[in-house]
Amino acid sequence: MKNEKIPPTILRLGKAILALVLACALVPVWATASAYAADGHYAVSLGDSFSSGEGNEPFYGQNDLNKTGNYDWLAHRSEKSWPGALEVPTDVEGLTAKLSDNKGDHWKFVASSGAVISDLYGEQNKEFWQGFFGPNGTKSLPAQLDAFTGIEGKVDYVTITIGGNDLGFSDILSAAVMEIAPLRFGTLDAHLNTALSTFYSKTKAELEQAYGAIRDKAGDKAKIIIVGYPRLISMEGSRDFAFDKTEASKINESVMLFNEEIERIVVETNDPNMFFVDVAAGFSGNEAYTSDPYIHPLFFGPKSQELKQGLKGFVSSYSMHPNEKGLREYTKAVQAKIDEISKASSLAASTADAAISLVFDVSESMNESSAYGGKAKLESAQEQGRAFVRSIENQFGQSGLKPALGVVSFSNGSSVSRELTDDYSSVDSAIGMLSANNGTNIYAGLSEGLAQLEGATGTKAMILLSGGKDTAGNSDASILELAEQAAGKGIKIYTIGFGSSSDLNESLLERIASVTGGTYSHEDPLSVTSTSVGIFATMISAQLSATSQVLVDSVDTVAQSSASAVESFSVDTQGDIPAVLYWLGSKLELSRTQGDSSLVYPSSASTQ
Amino acid sequence: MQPKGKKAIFVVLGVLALLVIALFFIATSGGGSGSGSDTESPSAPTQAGDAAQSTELKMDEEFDVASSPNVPTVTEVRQSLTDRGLGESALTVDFDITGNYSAATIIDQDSDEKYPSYVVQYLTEEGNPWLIYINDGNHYALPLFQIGDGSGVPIIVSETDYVTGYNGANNTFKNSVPNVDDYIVKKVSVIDKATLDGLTAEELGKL
Repeated sequence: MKNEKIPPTILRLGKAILALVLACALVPVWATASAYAADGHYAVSLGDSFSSGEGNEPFYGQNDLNKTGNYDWLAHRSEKSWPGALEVPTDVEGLTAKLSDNKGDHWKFVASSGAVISDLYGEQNKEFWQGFFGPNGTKSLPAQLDAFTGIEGKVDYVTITIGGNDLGFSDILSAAVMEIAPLRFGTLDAHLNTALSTFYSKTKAELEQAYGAIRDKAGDKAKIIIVGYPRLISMEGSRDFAFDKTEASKINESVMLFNEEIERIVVETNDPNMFFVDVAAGFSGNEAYTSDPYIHPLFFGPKSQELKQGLKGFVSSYSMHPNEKGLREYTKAVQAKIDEISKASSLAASTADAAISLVFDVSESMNESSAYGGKAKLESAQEQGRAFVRSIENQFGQSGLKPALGVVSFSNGSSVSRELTDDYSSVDSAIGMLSANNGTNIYAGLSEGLAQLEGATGTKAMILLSGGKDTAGNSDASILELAEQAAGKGIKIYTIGFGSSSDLNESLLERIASVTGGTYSHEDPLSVTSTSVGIFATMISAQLSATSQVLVDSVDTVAQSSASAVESFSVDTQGDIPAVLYWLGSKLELSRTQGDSSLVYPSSASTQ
Repeated sequence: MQPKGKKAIFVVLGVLALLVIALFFIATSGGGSGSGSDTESPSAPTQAGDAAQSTELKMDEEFDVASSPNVPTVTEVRQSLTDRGLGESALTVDFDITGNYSAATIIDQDSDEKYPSYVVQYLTEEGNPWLIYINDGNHYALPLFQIGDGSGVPIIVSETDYVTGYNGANNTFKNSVPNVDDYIVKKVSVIDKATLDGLTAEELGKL
């Protein structure tokens, strides 16, 4: 036989084909990495056009021969939507899944352009008119909450924007365009006033019910992320007569007011797994009609994928919705929240040494004078809260232990100002941003603090900083019941009172502390330090009981090798503790010593 | 079978009826459409209601909607729009005759109801959007396709030398002659389909 050599070109081709085959074989590996790893994980994206991605083609199903029979197309669900771009944690550590890769399977994308709150529970009619020769007609989209059928209790994340259509935002924008002197006056104000009264008489309650209904369907463990709306129009107005400055300002202010109210509702649910994400800051300076807009301008006449073509599509439904840049901004804001939740969850689920929730009273009474230094009570509480954070950071810094800290605030209701985190600077910032108004609901504050500590492991403690009596009608007994629940979970509550004794229900604060094994102190510069020491000591006790070969050496205020004695540390006038603790393999620098190194004894104990 | 004399009477009556209809059409169409760019036309503006222009003109002062006899009914407006070739366009209202606000409502049925201000959405065959205002029976058109072109000065197409504005805050009308620095008012003999279709962006750009 003739021994033919394979030509180099064929060889190269063969290699290329082999490479292609190998590459194809690897694709499923990447696909798996992107998939929502295990059954039992689901995400659901509900809401209106700001979630569906209205105005950003392609829409799912737009190339179907019978697209008017495709719910995705009828709802204008964009392949570029921001919920689809979110990445959520999977069972595989460090691996995330992009939701759009899981559409229809583990990601239920049911947001729909034009949706109102009632469309969560009932069918949404979509009218389409594709020209004289059709297809023309109306189809009904299923109730959005139906997406939870069969996956109740398995949902990790829910995202939603809803309510804008209930207030007639599109009508408001139309009114602003129609209102052009000298032909039309007063229309925009009438629309805005109506929207405002509609909100307080109807929409607010409907939103409260809707969030509750979503929680019921999604299950307790689901993280529900309620997302707000951006300012829509350049504060300078449009470059022509569509919107003047005044109109732009009125419309944007109404959107911001709506956001505030949505956030308030979310906070007042006292649901630790319900979050509000404000996107407005990310759109600031990039509204419609700016030089770099993240929002589409008004479009007149139907776009190619409009449900209503011809004369029936006068103002395009694409108008005044986030463009691709806007969608990216939405993704960024919501992704940050998911990452924060994920981090907090993993922190809480890890073998964190301790989790401490600082619960601040931010009621109106906190604006009154404190007992020290002529400051307002809140200012004093903030100072002490920050001192506590520094104290924890200093005392624990060299030990390698890093307790998670969180911030909760309460007035009429309560809210999480900072999730549990080991990022102490963000805790400090959260404390600094607190402001006081409204009544005092100690019960709500304690509940929120307990909820914050719910998923944490290790030593758990709460510090309640309050300067007033409960004005929300909660009895002392009901509040003490919460304290008993805390005690049952091993959570110590340290209470600190601010202001004069007559302002406070000191007896209640004392009992809350004593029921849980914590301490009560009246505001003074050492309160927080001593509290931090108490918590630290509790933590050490826990460590001591978990390790049999602990050696405790200190000055004479601590009995050697005694776990219980750790809690009897005294604090000097500078807030320092004259001791260093050691146990096997670790060293806790409990304090700065008094400058006399002989107090630390023996220095080699850490290795024993 | 009918007698021949009776048949002749029917024929005459039929011709007379046609004549009356033709005269009525000429009268209400203001001399026919398609003359939109004729800015010098002295023709009387087309009115939606029979009572139009029956009162002395008040300029630069607000007057109550209730005091005006010119406010047309829905049926009159719809008929007027049909006569102008705009019958397919969406007709909306948002204030009732007493000034009460309700969300923008599309009207697609005739009725004797009166509204102080009607707004019509019209897309030309080229896809150019217009808003047509019918305030106190007078018609005005606003080209929305100017929006976004940065031209800055709104153009109002009018059938009259003055503009009638509606103020929903106090339910009043006001006739005024707009400041030439603030608005370009283009007077046409009639605002109808042919006129608006003919007023392209290029045409308006020349103003």
